[in-house]
Amino acid sequence: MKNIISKTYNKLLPVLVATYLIAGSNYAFAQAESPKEDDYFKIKNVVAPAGSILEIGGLCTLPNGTLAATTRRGDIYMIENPHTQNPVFKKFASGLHEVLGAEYVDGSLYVAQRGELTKLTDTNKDGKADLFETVYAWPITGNYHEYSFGPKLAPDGTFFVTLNLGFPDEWWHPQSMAPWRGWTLNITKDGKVTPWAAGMRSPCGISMIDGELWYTDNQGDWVGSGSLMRVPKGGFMGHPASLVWTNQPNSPLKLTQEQFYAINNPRVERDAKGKPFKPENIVNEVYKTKFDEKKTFPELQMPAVWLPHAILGISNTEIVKIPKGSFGPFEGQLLVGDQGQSMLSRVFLEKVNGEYQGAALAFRSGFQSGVIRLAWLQDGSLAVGESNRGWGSAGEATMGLQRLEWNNNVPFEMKAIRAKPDGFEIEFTQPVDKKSAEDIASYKIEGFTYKYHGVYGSPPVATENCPVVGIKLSPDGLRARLIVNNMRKSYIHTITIDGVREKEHFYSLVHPTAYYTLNNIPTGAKLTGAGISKRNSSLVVASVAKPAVKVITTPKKAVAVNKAPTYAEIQPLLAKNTCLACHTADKKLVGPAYAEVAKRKYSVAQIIALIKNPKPEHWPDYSTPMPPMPQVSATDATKIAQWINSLAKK
Amino acid sequence: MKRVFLTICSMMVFITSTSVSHAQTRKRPDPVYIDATENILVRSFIDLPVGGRVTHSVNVGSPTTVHYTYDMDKGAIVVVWRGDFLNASSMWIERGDGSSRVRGKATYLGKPALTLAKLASDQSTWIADTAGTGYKPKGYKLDDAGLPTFMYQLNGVQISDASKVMANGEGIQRQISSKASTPGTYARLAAGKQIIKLSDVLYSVDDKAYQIRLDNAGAKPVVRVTADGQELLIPFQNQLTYSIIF
Repeated sequence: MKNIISKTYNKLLPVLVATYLIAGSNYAFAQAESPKEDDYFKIKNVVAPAGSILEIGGLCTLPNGTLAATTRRGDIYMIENPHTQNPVFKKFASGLHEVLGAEYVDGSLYVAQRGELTKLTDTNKDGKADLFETVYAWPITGNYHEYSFGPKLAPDGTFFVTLNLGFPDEWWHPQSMAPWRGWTLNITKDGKVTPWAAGMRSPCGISMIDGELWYTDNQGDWVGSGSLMRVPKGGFMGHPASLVWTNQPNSPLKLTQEQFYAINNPRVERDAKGKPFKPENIVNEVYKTKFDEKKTFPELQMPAVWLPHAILGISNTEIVKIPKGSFGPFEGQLLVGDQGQSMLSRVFLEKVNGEYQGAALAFRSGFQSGVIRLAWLQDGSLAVGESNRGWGSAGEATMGLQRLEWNNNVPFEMKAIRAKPDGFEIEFTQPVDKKSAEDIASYKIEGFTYKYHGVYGSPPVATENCPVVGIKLSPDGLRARLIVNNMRKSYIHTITIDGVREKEHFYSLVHPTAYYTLNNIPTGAKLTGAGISKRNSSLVVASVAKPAVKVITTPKKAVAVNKAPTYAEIQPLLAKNTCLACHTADKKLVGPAYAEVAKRKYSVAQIIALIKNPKPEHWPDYSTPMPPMPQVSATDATKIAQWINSLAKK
Repeated sequence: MKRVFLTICSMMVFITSTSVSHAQTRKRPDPVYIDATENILVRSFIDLPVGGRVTHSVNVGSPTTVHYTYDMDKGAIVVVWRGDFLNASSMWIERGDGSSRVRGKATYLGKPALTLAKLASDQSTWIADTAGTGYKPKGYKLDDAGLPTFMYQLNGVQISDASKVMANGEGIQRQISSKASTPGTYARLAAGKQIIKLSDVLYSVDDKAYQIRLDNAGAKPVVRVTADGQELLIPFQNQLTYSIIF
């Protein structure tokens, strides 16, 4: 009996396997055809006069459609018809000190320079500003990193500006070296100043969304990764350097730096000779998250949505809301710029228990330089202002003024992700194929968080799987409600949907991965009843494949221990571990080319150690320090190291 | 033994090659100059030999090749120079540090201090900073030629401060005016080691480093001795015109 069964089984097996492979190859075939970002959102250049130096620091669309563009070299251009093939540039002002934002109010342009909020007016109407009124000049020491951002106009007619910390020689611990550095200031048109919130590090991404002040901060000490945070009055955004001014009579915040360091190790470290050095990430330690810290300091603000480092940016910048009528299914959602990866991310926000949270996804890469400023134009396209001077970025240019245009075709994407009492509900932009959408194997969810510490950046920590145990598809095929185990409050949930296909064309998702920050788990009824799929195609295949007969694949090349991997083998590892956010094989990007690393002749063991604890002092020509990456597995790190070293032989 | 030798050699190659390759691969970028082919204003930090870094400064350039830097934190001119305008390399190459440097031949006018101050008497020490004066910078306006008139508030009064390069290239003429007057206000025209009166309207500072010339009749100037040297003061009602000749 056993013999007959096993004989039949052996005969059937190739058929079953072949069927699977053919069905599976359908997936592979469709994926090769699946449209990408570029098929929906086109990047166009705003044609500028030859020789213009447009290191954009500020963008603002005037009521008549003219785009005011300010630059890091202190120029302000008024660009008429910016969305057409023939925009007209007129120089409105020049000689200002690094203008990093603009707002147009009652016929005047308000801008933040290094040292002041200035009101510019063209009193004789000749197209050039002739009156430069100092609304408020704030104290600065002249440290190179004391950038001043804004202004953003509040609904009550006042302005907000955000002020970067200064970077001393020990750059890994920036300081607040003059009053209000690292703070947000509220300033009236008459120059009355109210300190608003503290705890900022590099607040380039000051933004006004629906009348509320938001910003993004950039990875560094006390900032494990970039994120979107709302800035309420009296808020402490997380970086302790600016707390030195909470003793001022007009400070809305009472938390002192002493109180902070009483429970947080400042990680100020010196070697045996007393020389300070950059503190390193300790791999096996008891650590705090920002959420843990909030229990002690209620004024500490939580990110509404984290932007995982090197995936959704390395130096996040401006946030804008997509207006009604723009960008199709994404109207009402947010877009966030990034200076290092020269990309935009999309954020879907919701409120649970009265607090903001939501999902972030990649939206568009490929801008020619680092994205700093965003402004909507009258035709519904998005002006994108760029500069990477001083830092390096993806893209072939050091600056740029471009536009992002939608071609009115709807991409297949996760439109929204909403937290549920027992999981997540994914809303798609188009109906999904029922079979793939009801297959648990199409989804993978993991949760992780970041450390809150005085080390430069944090690796993802506490990563755990979040099994999907049930799926219910809406009748219209637009929503998939997932029942998910092991959801953890305050953690970021990486939702990867590789297997779901769009119904009509069998396309895969343009962006298959979303990062949901679960600040609160909503209360309410768990999903029960009929129509919950528990089918998991990966389990079926596993049981078929168990017998000794090998599945038909190309046999793996026997890799000798000393033979280095090829780029084709390494590329997926580099992508998975986010190395490609900052490195390429042969070209300088944010970090050195791997061919350059190879020239240093590090041993494999040295490279593995450097991935865990990088030494930026080895690369003085590169401005952006590499964060510690202990999350790269030993196997991956070894292969990557071997491949890097193989580049030296060329 | 051979392995040790080779390791040492490769280490030495590594050490020297990294430093050599930095020198070889790091090409010195071209400097970034700003020229004053027309009247031009450029804000930047500026470093002074005495007084450190001025952070709210405005460099004013002229095609006549006479230029000056105005400190908006004090309402004072801190340096005058003749020749090319600015080297902005330290501001606009890579991250830079936000500062630019004067080119040509510069005459520094000492540690920045308020030009106008209310004193109890002409013997009172000149005030060290703006504490108690309600000093507030108000910005500047540009005339049709692009020349700035700076504005600030002092003791509740609005002051206008316009400087013009003199047509003969001698230097800069300064016109300070206010709508109202605060009794007891003086203008400090110069401070240095030694101030010598050459005539009723002409004074030489620090062995002809520069000269101060009074261009409108009015109050009588006073040279007085201070802890650091000498100062040239004149009572200020609501108008003052004087020149810095260098």
